[in-house]
Amino acid sequence: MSKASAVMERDFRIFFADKYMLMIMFANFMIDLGVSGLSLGAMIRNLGFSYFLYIAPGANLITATVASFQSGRDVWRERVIQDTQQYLLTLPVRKNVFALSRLFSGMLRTVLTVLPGTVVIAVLYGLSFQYFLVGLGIMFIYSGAVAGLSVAAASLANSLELFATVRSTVQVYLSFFSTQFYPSSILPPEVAAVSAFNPMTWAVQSFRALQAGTVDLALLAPLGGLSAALLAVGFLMYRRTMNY
Amino acid sequence: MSSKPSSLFIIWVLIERDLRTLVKSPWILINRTVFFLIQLFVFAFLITKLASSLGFNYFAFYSVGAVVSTITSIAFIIGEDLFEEEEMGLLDYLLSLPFGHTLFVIGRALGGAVRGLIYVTPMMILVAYLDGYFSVVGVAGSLLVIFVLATGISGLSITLAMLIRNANRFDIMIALAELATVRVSAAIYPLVYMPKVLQPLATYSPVTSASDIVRAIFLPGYASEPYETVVLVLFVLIFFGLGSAFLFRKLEGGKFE
Repeated sequence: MSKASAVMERDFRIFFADKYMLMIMFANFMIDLGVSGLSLGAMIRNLGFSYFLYIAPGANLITATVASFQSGRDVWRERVIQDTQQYLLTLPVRKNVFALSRLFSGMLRTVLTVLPGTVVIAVLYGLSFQYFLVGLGIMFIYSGAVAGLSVAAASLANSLELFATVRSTVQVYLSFFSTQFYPSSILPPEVAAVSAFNPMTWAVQSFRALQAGTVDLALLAPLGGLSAALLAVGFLMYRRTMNY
Repeated sequence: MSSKPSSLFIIWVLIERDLRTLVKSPWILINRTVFFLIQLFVFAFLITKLASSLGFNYFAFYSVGAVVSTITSIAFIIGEDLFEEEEMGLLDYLLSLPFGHTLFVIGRALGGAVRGLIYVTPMMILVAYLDGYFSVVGVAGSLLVIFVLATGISGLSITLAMLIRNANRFDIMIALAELATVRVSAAIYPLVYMPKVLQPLATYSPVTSASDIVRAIFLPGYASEPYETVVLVLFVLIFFGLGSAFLFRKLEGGKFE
């Protein structure tokens, strides 16, 4: 356990080497929520509910996506730019433990990054402390899906161009082919079908359910399933890069 | 003894070098094109459905903003290229070549802008078609406007690449700068719907200026103000200056983290 925690501590040190990182991430969230959210909310007023509150959790989940993708970025830099992966693998940590710790630390880093944003959403939604903790749990599970995807991408891409392309493709898929911006009832059938396999859909719906006063397991279960599957893909791809 | 190459030749060589990376980067081209089409035919289409009570056609409004935000986002890539070159030690070599750092910034910023223009020209033509605008001169004028914007954004991106020494922070800062320049502007929503406190800032955003000018060309009932052209030109001049200044500082040395 101490070896795993040492690996995770290293990841935290890398991520927070920049003392302004959390502030910059929060600024990202605030632009999404306080500029785009309010502007779109002011434009769309005929739905019978507040569109601003409807899209608010999506802004936090987008920040979580950016933070989670840094896990893949770290792995990619070590493998392609810094050429330190071989050295890291000589350390006295089992490869499986090493890979799992990297993914787990990515999830924890994300939860820490989105903590202020989650507080803002909890205040906007008027959530109790228990529901706020459930909200953090949703962010944790969701970040597993993105960390898995990012590490899988980092394990496959040998150029920054390809890695950056995968990153933005994933972000487009998560944002536009989900119910982050629009209710599922207005989605064309093809988009609705794709959105069912999108962790953003289940995460954002789970968060909205908290506002209605429910912890909806029917939404959390698919989110957990998708995250577990994508984490497994990330783990297996990362492990594959460790075999020579 | 060979004569010194002219400034124009040096700028052309720098632009050509950036264009070569465009040819070598098909993934980015494919990705940005698909992103643009999804923005237009999924996001804008569905949001227009939700915003059906607005007194204007949001899809037409957004279509122009989508082109402007796409070129903004593409122009930011030049900074990522420079940062990668710096990280790999290639920038030191480039800066040791026998021409001034101002020429280097101009060449790279123009290279980024030309690259962006090549990316978005088909998108602009598609938007003109969707908006029912068929004047070749008008489309060419719109491309010129977004080229000027892209040049300024490239300068801004180069400035950030020279200012920031930490890779993680650079990644996040570029994303933040891109987000701020596009969102705090009239690219994707009319100024009147933005939070009041941000409206003065967004009014003088170069992205707003470019969006307004292109909308005034493409869409009936839209107009742009003369000061918007001034904003665009000033933006380019400021970031050429800053990019050069920070490259000079880079020449003077500094620690890369």
